[in-house]
Amino acid sequence: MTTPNQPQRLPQFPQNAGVPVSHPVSGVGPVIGQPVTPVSWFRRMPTGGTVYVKPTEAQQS
Amino acid sequence: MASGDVITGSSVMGSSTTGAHVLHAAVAPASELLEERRTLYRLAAELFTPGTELSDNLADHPIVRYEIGRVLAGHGDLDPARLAEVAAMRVRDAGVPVAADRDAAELLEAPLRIVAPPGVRPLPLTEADGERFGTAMTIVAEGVRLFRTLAPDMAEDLLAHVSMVAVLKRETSGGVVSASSRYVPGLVLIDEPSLPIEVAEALVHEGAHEKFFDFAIAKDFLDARAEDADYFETSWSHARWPLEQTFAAWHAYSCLAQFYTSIGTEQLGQDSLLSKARERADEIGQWLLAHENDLLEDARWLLHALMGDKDEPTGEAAARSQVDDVTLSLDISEDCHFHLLPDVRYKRAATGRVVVGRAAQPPEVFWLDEDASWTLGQWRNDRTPKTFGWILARAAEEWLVDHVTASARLRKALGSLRSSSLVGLSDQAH
Repeated sequence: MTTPNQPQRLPQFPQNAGVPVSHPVSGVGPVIGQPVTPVSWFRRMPTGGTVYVKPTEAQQS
Repeated sequence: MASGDVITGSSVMGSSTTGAHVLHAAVAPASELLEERRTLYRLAAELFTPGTELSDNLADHPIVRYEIGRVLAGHGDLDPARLAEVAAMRVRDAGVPVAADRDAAELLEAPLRIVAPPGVRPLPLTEADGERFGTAMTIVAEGVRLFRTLAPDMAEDLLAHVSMVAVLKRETSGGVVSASSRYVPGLVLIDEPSLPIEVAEALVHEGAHEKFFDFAIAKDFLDARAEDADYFETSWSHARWPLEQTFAAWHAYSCLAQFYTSIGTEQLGQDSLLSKARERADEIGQWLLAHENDLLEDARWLLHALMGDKDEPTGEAAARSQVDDVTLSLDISEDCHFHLLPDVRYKRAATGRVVVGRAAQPPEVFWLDEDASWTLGQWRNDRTPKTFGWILARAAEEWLVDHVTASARLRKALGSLRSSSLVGLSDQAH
């Protein structure tokens, strides 16, 4: 979860492979965005559109 | 240790040694992501049909989300009767809900049409197909169990975003192995399976897409600029993908590659992508790293993290959020009045984040950060105009900061709210 108005930094994950790691605390991840962020995901919502389908090798997603 | 916990082996360029579920949770734990997604759809439902209250079940339903998504895209109106109709659709529990309704072909008409290859009309298996449907249900249930056994953390992480599975009759699927659509989020379509591992792989692949769809509406992943970005061309098929599909494919291949390390001696399905997943994830990921300026902050962070890159995103992309800042003009005095625009509605998720919408044409939906949420909340009890000074005094008190700091933060929040046409300047006295 992004936490506004606080300095953010990338989490430091363990480098030793094979060792279970706990979930990082929510909010330690990405840097912050804008105070107001538009959700533009729906703006291209036609009757068809981007589909992730792998009907053949040539069209795999 | 479950293989899904952490990828074993040395850290290599192009892949993370940390499980995808851990990195996903650093962006947002699945439970929080679902809560925020439901809040967005509930807000939308209330915007278009005031008084409509969506249960979790209804807010998660892929067709309900499709119908709301259509309206959010500016296509038509929301029909509460249609929502009630699809909510009554029968499903069977196979570890995930599976479409079972005899009328599923009609109720799922939109996704079946969207994913159909040219000239193909896929049809779902349903209870009307009797024993054949029962056999498919058994394989799906075994596939879900296999997924949960081989990679329990990944299964928990991805299946949280799969609200329904529909099984396509093999003779009608037109070669579709598995499919999903951003327009009907939560629905996974799979070909009639022969082996549980086919189902498990399809759930990893499409579950990763479904996770991405939810990230894309609740977090900072892509904006309209993605439509003008370069296309990625695959080396293996020379297909050209827009940025959104490229990111989704990279994310799915990354999850498939991690899943592949957990399957042991399990025999792969005939159309499996697992053995190719790491190479393709790396190829796509390297291209995305070269185009990360077209991604928003959360997407960039996940890209770097899943690629095993410990460096923070830098350069133009990292600086963009600062460049885009909108701050209220410094010549705004403490006597200036602000008001919430009349068609603005908002909801606060249990996570604390606020989503706000305007039933304009096309409708507009925004996520607010903490300061903007707090600022909008000053109108929760009444919508009368408030002076900047009145809001500032409360901000300084509640944020426990000095006036200079509070003023800067409030100007930024109000400036952004104003530029998004959520709050306006008013002459009316407080």
